[in-house]
Amino acid sequence: MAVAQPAQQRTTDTDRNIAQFIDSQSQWALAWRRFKRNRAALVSIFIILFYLFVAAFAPALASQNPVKDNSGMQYIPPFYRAESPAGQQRNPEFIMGTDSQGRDILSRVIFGTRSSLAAGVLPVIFVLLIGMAIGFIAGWRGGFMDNLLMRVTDIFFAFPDVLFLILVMVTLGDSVLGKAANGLPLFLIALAVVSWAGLARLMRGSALTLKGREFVDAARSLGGSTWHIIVKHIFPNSLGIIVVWAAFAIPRFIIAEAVLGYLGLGLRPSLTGKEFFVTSWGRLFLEAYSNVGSNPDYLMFISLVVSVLVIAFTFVGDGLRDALDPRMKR
Amino acid sequence: MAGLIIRRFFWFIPVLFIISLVTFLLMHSAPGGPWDRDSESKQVDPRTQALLAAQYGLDLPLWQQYIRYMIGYTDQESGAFKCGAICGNLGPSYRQRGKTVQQVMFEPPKRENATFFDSKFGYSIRLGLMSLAFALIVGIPAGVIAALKHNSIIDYFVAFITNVGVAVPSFVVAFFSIIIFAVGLGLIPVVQKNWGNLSAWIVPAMVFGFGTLAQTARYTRSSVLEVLKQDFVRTARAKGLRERGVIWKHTLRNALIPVVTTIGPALAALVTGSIIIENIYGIPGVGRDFVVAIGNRDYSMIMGTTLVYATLIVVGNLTVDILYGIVDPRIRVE
Repeated sequence: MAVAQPAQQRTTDTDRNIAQFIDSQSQWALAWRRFKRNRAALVSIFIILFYLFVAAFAPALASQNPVKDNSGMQYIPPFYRAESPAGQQRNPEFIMGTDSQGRDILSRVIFGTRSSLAAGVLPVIFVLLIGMAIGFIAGWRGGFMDNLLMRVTDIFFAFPDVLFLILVMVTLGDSVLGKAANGLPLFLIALAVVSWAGLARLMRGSALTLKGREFVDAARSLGGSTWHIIVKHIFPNSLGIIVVWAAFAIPRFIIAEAVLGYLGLGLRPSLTGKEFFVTSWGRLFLEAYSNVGSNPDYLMFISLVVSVLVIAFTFVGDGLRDALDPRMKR
Repeated sequence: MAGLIIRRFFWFIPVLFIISLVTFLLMHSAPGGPWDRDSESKQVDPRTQALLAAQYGLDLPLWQQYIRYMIGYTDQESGAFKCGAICGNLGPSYRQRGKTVQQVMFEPPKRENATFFDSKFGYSIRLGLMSLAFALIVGIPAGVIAALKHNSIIDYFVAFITNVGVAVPSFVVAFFSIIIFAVGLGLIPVVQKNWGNLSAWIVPAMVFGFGTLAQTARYTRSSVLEVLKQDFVRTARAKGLRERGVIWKHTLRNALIPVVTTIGPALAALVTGSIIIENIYGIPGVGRDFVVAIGNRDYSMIMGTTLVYATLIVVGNLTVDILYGIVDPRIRVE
């Protein structure tokens, strides 16, 4: 039937628009369209942006000095409770109440957002650099190199990570790295050391699959160098996996900081309040839990604040995974 | 397959050696030693410290200390060779005097009817087993029902719970449990002292098993959905089998095999991951001791715990690979 009519006549304006529309959809634009349909993930993006906003403008948003002790004002309950178990009346100056030293809880949580987000996001960069380098080289080179690197990866995969983190934070806590910037550099390095192995395995798998694809063959036969192929072909095509991995890694790292902080080993608290990282959620968990009898709302508040962010990141991760690779959709 | 297992098994040895070496170097890089940081501020006098150090070989160069711990040493007095960690001798604890590390970890306390499950490690195992039991007993049926009632309100409810369970770590769930059950309802004490009672374990096990529960339910659900799409299920229905027969004999039997393979590794993960839960609820297991041991510079205790945990993780990882290979020969490695 189509043969009977000249092709020219059949192409209406609408057809042309559709063709244009389809042509303009890059892989990422398509993924974004799929992602937008996931309402939970979309809401989660805004939640994460809100936390980032709080972290960035912590000094402006906090109504009180987060490290100032207010004697006689300990254990003030939050606004929704008239009296705390310790017998203090509520006080409009301290919306979420005060801790065991009379410090404003809301201001402390706001400042904690800053350290905890930094502790969640910054290690991702370290881990990406190590994991991608090792995974790509192993997958691309194959043979002896692959074997060697994967055996090294096995070692790090077998490391009891919580034990290692605790050990590093205790033993190197008083070193230069442990003291600089409230101990953040030490935490970043320790976390990167125990976390890269999983990503390296993913990246190796990705490089192995892509190595056999036609466009890589084409690039190679056109004389593309290894570096060129990795940067232009392997990396962009692995980006989906990397992005999804990062979305799931960030909440894990935030919790790792919280766990260490709870053991008193996380980021160092600031005494003057002048440092960039004043306190972290991990430390707040420790403080709130030690005084749970006198002010249980504190523990409730910090647990909720952390849960919401962690859930948001996981939902974004789920959304990204479904959007970037529809085959993986559950 | 057998060759793969044997090769992987021999690979354990260098892995454990390197992990122990890293741990060894790290803990010795920290200032202080096991006898100069007494918590009760009873400082051991320097001469006694030197004598103790000589007795335990802590005055030797580091590399000799490492070999002494890992492989063994010849006793000066008797001339007999004392085997080290490779023989399972994890060394004398420097702080709990008169006890070896393996005694601290694995020996039940000296009272009547004390079993292995009353030892430090037994407590960690017990927590892991109970959490796993809870996760499986609730997780598998939830996953099956969600799959059978695909896209129903039950399915969505299970999906919601599993999403939350996968996302929120037990660390945070534990605090919620304390606020609700201990402070709010007063059902459990904030600091539990009597762990001999089975009821004391209910809340920690449920909290700790929640993440595994969510993963099990998710995995079961997708596995059952996968099998329901298979041709043999359609055949079973087509030949007029009752729905109950189709579900029990054809679907579940096939769908649950991959789920069962996750049990062993899940237990290993639960036992090695229990440090924080033990700390929060005050369960006297290995994890809680580890944190104390680092602070005390109880070198052999730190090494011993790390080695035991690393072995568990390595064995857990290997079981995953083997079981996956058995369940699905297509993904057999190498």
